[in-house]
Amino acid sequence: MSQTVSAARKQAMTPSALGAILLALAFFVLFALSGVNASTTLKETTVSTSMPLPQLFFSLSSASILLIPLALVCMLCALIAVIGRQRNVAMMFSLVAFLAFGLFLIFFSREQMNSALYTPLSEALKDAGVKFKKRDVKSIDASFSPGAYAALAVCGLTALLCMPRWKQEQERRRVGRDLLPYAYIAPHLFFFIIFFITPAVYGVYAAFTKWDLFNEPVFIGLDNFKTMLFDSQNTYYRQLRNGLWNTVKFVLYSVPFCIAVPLTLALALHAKAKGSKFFQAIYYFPSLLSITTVTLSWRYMFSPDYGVMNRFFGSTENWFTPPYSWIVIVVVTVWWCTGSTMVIYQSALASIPQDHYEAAAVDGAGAWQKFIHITLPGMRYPLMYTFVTSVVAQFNIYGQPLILTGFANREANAVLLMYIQENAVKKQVAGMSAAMALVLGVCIMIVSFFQLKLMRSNAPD
Amino acid sequence: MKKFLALVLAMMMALSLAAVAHAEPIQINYWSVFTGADGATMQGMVDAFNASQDEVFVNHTPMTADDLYQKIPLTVQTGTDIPQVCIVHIERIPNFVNQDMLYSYDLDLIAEAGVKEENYNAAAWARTDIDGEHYGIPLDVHSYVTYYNKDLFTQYDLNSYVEDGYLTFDEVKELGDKAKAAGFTGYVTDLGWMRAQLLGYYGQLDPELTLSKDGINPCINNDNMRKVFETMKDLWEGGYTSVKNTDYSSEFYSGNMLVWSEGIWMKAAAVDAGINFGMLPAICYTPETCMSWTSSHNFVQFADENRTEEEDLAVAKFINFMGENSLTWAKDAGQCPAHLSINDVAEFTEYPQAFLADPARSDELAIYKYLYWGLFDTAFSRVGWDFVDGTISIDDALAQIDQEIADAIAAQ
Repeated sequence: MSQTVSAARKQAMTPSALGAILLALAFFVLFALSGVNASTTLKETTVSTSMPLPQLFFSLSSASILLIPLALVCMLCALIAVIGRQRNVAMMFSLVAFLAFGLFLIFFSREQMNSALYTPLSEALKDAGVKFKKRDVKSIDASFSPGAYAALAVCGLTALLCMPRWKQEQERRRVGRDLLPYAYIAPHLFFFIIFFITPAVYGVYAAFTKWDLFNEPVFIGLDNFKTMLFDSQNTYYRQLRNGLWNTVKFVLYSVPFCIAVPLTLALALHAKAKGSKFFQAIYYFPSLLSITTVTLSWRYMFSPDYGVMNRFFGSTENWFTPPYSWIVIVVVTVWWCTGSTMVIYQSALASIPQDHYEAAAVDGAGAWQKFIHITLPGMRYPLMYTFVTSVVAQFNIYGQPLILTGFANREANAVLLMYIQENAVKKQVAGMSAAMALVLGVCIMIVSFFQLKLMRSNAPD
Repeated sequence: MKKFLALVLAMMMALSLAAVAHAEPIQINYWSVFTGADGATMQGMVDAFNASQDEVFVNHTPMTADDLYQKIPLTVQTGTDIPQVCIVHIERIPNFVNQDMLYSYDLDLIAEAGVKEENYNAAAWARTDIDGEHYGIPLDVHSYVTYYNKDLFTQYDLNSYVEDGYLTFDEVKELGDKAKAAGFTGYVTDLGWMRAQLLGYYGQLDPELTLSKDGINPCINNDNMRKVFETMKDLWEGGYTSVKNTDYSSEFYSGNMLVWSEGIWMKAAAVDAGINFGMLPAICYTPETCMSWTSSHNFVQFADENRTEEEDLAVAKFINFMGENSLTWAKDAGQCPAHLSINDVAEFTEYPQAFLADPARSDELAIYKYLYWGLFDTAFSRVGWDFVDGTISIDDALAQIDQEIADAIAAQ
């Protein structure tokens, strides 16, 4: 691989490569400028509309539109590859972009009814004074502007310009060598673009829209953020603050236990007492269960009427009201998370050389001193790793408070993801919900950034 | 050999003709909100329809109401796998119509299959007449009513309180005090599904069932709703109700509760529990103004430009069969059928919920109609116990409900 890269670097930038770069850039310009023209006729009234392709992409109104991000990402990769003088790779990506964009143009044109096009057409029909129902609009004729076909041609031309000399045996071998790694990652890359990049981009876009999940989202700029960050009388201002603060509280309450409890258990099992394998299996078992199963089981155990906890402690307290509710949520979380973290710690403990302990014992170190000066430094990296993953995981808490307390007690245990889900799906306030999700995402990214910096500074050389 | 070949050919032709003569039944996909025991009862009714004829075959897909209300917008939006007929709650229909998600029924077409307005509960039918079109065919009406433990009432000499067929809030307190004085240590009544209880009581104070004055903006923060909230808080503070997180159904089944506010759909479970119970309308301020919160499961058809008239007629036949044979629904699911023919069945008149089907008492059914019912439901249910136990003041709770609905409407 390194030989391929160095060989590629030795190649000079040829006129065809320069042409490929210009064509790839032209694709993005053409994509931004082209659009789709649509018309329909109803009760002898014909109305038409046109929609730019970027707007159509954000409507996500049919499955074929998912081919657009695939084409865009592939052309971007082709551009990067050709600049990096990886012509074979550029050829491959521009060919995939050609295929994806071509299929999009074919499939989309064949659709009889597209909701993104229906919305402006129905408005035009209403403006024209036509009374109708959705079922009356039998079909919509859609055709792309010449720019769209030019963009498709540009993809093909880029691939042609990057085409290797197939007649040369050495060149053919190089194509195989260059493209083989991409063949391995192709399936993952495909699904990554369709099911990760696209929803992520769309989620960010949705945060700047007013959207009821059913009709087309309407771009409203920063209004959602202004409302939830500065309008103190608004419900979403209250929900963001309460949800975020409850999420942070939960992270602060649970993360120390999510590290201390599995560490303690790992140390106990490391002593290899009789039956330790059995207990290892027992401690790991909750990690295999779904959060719903775990939470419902604990809900019965903490039930004020017939729960084993109140019987055991001889108490009549309601565990689902503050401040006890936080205890229940943390207990359930720690019980569920302990197994997987414990296994990491066991592995780390096993990797600490035994002679360190023997040497320390010769020097007269006690158990506590061994733990502080040998065990903890020896586990520094796994501890930091589990710290980072635990914080990120607990920021995404959802199931435990939802099932145990819901929005009761004046939303004392309502975390941000509960509000996000409810607003988006139940109340169909998807734009505001996406904005909340974006805020949560930014918070997690900031915390993770500092944690990763800390982890790298502590990482073994 | 020739004879043998001729015989084989003749048989093949006969089989081909038979295959042509026996047309495939029309396939109808039907989604419902019935799970658990109700789901099994509904599946039995669907099976009975499929067995009764060979022109239409119904595939029943049961799911929880939450799942259905999440799936339907996506299904209609994408235009794929839209069921030909679906059961939804009546309160949801106005918003579905507003979003252009429902097709209205062609009344002439469905009349061919026997589905006619005069055959159905008038209150439920009228609620889905919107802008001159009709959108729902009711399967049932189901109310939030009052169960009482007959054995405990006899034991503590409380039967005089229910002789008139109603139970007022004052009577609940009186009978509770009397039973406790006689040694009863359980709960007098419960605070269960608060939304259903509160809306029944609200209807008693405002028979117009006003949730919005202009049909859009909420007006929950009003004197009548405040009185309802105060009534609930008063019952709780007086020690007459169950406490938070009580498993109230278990308390009633185990004979530890005198009066249980619950839906009629729990009748079968109460029978299975072996409780000797009676059923009354919701607890009321006065018998004259009594109303019980009521909903109705309705057959609707979501927008699907690919559905044919032939399929619509097949759906109508199915709906008519379900209405005419809904005694099973009354018996096994405890519901009150909306098809009026069931009122004349002697067996049904013996059922405890039969009083809800009495046309003379149809004004006791509080069936709400508000465009933003889904938003109202979420916001209203949110305050739950908080105003009862004082976590939030009643004024703040009412203001919060209005604010939450208004903000959600603005953000949609």
